[in-house]
Amino acid sequence: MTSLATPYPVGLRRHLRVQVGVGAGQVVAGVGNLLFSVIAARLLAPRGFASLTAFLALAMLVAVPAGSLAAGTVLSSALHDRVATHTRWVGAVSSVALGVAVGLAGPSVGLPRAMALPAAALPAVALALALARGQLYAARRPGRVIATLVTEPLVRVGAGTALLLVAGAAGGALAVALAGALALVVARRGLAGSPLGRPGGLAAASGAQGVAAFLALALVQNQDVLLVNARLSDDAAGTFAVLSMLGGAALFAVWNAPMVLMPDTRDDPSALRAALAMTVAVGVAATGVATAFGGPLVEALVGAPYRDAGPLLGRYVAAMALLGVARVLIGDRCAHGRARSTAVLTGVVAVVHVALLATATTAAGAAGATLVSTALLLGLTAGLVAFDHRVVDGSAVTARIRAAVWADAPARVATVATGVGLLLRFVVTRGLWLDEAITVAQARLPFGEMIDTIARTDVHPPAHQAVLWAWVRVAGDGELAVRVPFVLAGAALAPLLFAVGRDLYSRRAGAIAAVLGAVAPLAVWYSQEARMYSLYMLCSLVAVWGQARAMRAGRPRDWALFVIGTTGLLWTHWFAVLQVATQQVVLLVHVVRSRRAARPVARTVWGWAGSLAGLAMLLAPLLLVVGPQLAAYAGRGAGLDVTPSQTGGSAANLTGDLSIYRLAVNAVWAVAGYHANETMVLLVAMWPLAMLAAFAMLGRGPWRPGTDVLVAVATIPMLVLFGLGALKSNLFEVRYVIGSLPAVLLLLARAADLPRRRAGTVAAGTALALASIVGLADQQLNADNPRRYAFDAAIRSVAADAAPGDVVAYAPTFLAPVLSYYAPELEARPLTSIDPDRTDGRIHVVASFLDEQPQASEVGAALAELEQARGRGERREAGNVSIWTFP
Amino acid sequence: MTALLTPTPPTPSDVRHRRSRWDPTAGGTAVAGVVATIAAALSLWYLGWLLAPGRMGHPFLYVALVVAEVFNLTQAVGFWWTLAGRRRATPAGARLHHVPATTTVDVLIPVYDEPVEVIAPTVMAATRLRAGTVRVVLCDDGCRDELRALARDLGVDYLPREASHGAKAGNLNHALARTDGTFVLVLDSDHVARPELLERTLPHFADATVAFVQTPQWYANADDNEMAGTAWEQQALFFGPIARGKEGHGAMFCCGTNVVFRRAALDAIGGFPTDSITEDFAMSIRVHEDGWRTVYVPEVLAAGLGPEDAAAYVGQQDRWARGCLTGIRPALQARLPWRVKLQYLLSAGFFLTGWTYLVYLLLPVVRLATGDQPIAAEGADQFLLHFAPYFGLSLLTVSIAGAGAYTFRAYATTMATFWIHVRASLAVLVGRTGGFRVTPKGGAARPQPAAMWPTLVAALVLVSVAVIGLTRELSASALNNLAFVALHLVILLRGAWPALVGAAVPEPSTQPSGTPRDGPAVP
Repeated sequence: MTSLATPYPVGLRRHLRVQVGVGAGQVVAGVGNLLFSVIAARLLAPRGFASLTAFLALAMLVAVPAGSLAAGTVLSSALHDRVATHTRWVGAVSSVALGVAVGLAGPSVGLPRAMALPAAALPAVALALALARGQLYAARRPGRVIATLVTEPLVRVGAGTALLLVAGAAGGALAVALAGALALVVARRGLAGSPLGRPGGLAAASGAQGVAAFLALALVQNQDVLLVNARLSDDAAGTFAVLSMLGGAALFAVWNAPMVLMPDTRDDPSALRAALAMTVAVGVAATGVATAFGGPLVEALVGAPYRDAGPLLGRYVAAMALLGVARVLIGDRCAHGRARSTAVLTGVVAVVHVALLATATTAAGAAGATLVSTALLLGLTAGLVAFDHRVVDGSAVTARIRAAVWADAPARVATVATGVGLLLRFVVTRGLWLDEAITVAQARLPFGEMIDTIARTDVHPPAHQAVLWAWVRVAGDGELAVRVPFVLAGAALAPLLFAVGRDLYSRRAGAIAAVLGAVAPLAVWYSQEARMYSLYMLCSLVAVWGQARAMRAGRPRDWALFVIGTTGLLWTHWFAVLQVATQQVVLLVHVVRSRRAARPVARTVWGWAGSLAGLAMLLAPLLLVVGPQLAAYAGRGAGLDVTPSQTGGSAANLTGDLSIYRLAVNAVWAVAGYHANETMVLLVAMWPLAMLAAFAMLGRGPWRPGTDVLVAVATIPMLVLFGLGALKSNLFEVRYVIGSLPAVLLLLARAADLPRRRAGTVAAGTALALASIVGLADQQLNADNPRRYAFDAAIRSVAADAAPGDVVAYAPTFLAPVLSYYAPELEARPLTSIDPDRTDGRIHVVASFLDEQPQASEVGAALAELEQARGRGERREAGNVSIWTFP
Repeated sequence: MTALLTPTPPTPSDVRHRRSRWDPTAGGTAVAGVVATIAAALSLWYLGWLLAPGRMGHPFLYVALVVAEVFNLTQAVGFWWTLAGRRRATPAGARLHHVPATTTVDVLIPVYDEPVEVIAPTVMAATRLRAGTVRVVLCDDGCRDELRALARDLGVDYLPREASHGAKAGNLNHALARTDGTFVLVLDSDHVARPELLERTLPHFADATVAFVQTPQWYANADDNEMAGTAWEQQALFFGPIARGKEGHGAMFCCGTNVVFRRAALDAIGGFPTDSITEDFAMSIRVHEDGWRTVYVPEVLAAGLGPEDAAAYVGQQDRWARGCLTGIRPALQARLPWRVKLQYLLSAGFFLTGWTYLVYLLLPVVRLATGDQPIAAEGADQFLLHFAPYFGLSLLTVSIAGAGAYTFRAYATTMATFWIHVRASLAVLVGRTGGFRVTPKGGAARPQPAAMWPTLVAALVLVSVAVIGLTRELSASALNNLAFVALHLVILLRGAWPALVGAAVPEPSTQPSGTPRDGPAVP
């Protein structure tokens, strides 16, 4: 293809003018199409209007991939040439196929057979139009682009009105096809006789990758409404449809911004700035309007039945605004020849989006899932574009980041491990646990009320609730959405382990630690809980790293790191005090030994004193919580009637209340994850193999600096807690000292790195990783894992079965938050408060923790009473939850 | 004849000219003491639990286990007690007095059939010893002309012996009768002394009751050869905390080389005893019985060569085991302070450890094959509770006291050659202590499975039993015993590893002397 330099406006203002012009054309097109729909609604009977709407959906279905193809041809003339040679027969075959399909099966999806002809025109026209528009963008012909954009609605409204009157819905369909054809004519006329500007010079493969990237973008934009329709209730689906429609309109105005951008961005950086300025401005304006006037807007446009969508509109429009900006950045990357990584990135986000949507139970949750996904996409893309445009290139930061993530094999292993760890954590295989439901319920409260509730009724410091409080206001309270902050904190463990391992030992040890951190069963399990544990692990690692560095170098920033980590620990979990105390003792021993060895200690002592002062200041606010909590705890009888700390742990009670086997079981849980009781019994029986580990530690010589901290943190909190367990059995639970896990993983990585030969290290690291993966798979997938409580499935099944007037009776009483989360619409009462004679509808009993004798007795007695009053109940099970339905 | 400083240049390629990085004084005394005290208490706790009524499963197995555990607990407590003596040990490198030039020292280098290239650096280094007036004597039991020439070239005395009765002890006695130095330094033919050896040892003789001053035997080839490295790590524990502790208890015994004697002391006990294959151990008992003191200087002042292949190692261990076990009766009969007597018995008794490991090997085998076990089943978790702390702290004590010098391969090799102890004790029991066997020279590059065939047979039995056990049942109890089998398999195969893969090919100048006169290493 000829590459002639067509004079073209350059500079920010001119790029901006073009962007605004094309955007205006797009808005006109959108308004025109909306007008056509309104006219059709007025002129056609509901059945006919529905048929035309279905046809429009079909046209959209064809247009979306075709639009992606346009993006590819803007990027690559070679791709255009290749596609162009096949367009005719591909278009012809597709048209015939679609026409025949509509002719044969159209009525079954609401498309009259009369629409077969216009349907047949859609693929061929869409393909040709996509290629032509792609050429126009590439040739920098904005005027002609606007003309083609405006032609379609003009024809639809003009000729379409007439055809609607004459031929009804089929006429409208014909008008749609005709509008596309005429837009094609306009586009082709714009190309005829005019030399093309500078069509994309990228290889065809790059163009194809660009097509893939834009297809993935189309998925992110459209898949939410499809999935919500398929999964949620009618009301929720309707609410979300409104969000999708109005939110989509916000994106519509900036839809073509990447197309305008791509031909110029390589030569003129101001093109990107212009595109960003326009999309950001439109996005901010749209989000502001939607947030401020969401309720009235929804009621005015779609009526009162959809008023639930009002409060969510701002959130969803924000998601679309972010997506619009992300599209611009993606176009920029594709134009710079980085389409492949962009396509992969967008595809991954599309998958994450699906995963988030799959767990959303409400329209709000789904909107949150889309917001999180688009924010993730924008964040990742923006980071990459910053590199592409050398925003930070050339600086030490770039070099360090690149060296850290991809410089050598260990860094690459750690980077891949980070990605794998992130994905694994997003693959959640269980519903919300009791404690999570409590946390979500707290996070739904106003902030002050939440803190007050925590102080009066909880037994934990408020850091994770505060994080979740802010998060649910952005991303909603969907099942996965509420877990995202903690998933991200858990995923951050892998790169941080790499950094610490590299700092304390070697790059290889760091890489192994990162891999272990990514797949460690317990780390994955608790990263998936909307609780404090992933933060606990992260803060623990920061505190340990800070201390190791402070003991080695004693720089102010090392002490600062130590203070940050320690503060985070105590804001996260009260039992972290065991680790904090352990670390203080290690510091004391370090100072004493340094003095004995006649090494200078003044710097360390001053740093230590400073850190204590800093800690005192940062921890002081906790006094406002800890006092009332202690008083309330004592008032309740030291923990009675709160959620159980030790659940699913019958394997840990092999020999009574507290035993060495229970310690061993908890140790196995720590490194191998949760498994069926039978498996745990067998695993613990293999304790003699642990003697090998002890033997292997022989002859390792003096510990490296930092190892003393790791060993102390890995062992002492667990042993102290074991001792405390002798006083109060349910205090001994591995997750209370999960802050020790990163230290354990680092020590394992260090052990794997001991062989002198690289092959030995790789073999040891691989063996550890494989063992972890096996443990992880069993933990996550084995239904016999006693820690899996299917409250979600059980309650949803009751909700699906329940009729108006039915009552849900639950036991024990602490099931209330989880019932309220999954089925707030159900009338639920504690089992003990149910009076069968005063209940009209059926009684659904939801009971759990029946392996505990008092609980089983209480439920048994209540069931007997119900059976006497109502007859025999129908029983079913769902993962450690029992359900009885009494007529 | 006074040794002359020879102009012959040293051989820099010989590993024995390397400086040792090992510090015999390393290992936290205070921390090890605290840990050892706790470990001792926990060992009693464990023993008390083990001996409590109702613990017994199968009577025979239970008794075997109890005997083995009591023996090992005794050894462990003995080790911790030995460590406690370190606080009273002579400070390392102490210079007590100036050594007058008139002090005469005879340096005796007994040789039998070692290669000349091994002997030459030893003799050469001996001529460079500082302090006093030194006379170097090459005591040749082989009457070889090349050694006569070597002595002539290096300007040292050559003392051949026609009849080689009494082996090394006879050779040394032969030389003692023909020399008259106030002090006698004995160097094995492969031990290259550092020039300051006498400067660091002779001052201790200012105390007229000191009979000999022993210094460590460091294996300079430990970094180059798997077997030598393993042997050294076993030695390191002895020449580190144990030897320092023994000295503190007044019970340091002679280890055969790198040791300086007061001639008067040797004369008093009638020279080196020729009726033992570990003449140094037997001689030490007599010295202590005669009221002399002994000193250990924890400073590497000579560099030797360790056994470089499995056969050499087995031969060395076998001889030490027989010699030390033979020494039990003299130690029992000797009129010694109880502390010293106990120290000798602990050292000699170490060579019975193999029996206990045999018991440990058999217990899971019997359980998987017959279902019988020593402890009543209901005590499984309690066994772990009582055993684990004692076990863990015992290892920790070894690790801290030895400053990491004692390794898993050293432990595994000791355990994998358990049959040496069994065989030696049986031989001693029937009065067949055997005579000197010169260890083969050099390390065999090829694998030597035959050298450790009993270890491999034991491993084979374990594998067979594991397979049988797996096919029979997969209960927690069976799996527990299978884990023990796996543990033992790892230990046995790690210990037999040098025999399975062969030795690294050493440089010609580093061939070990394989002298049968090395001192015992008693971990």
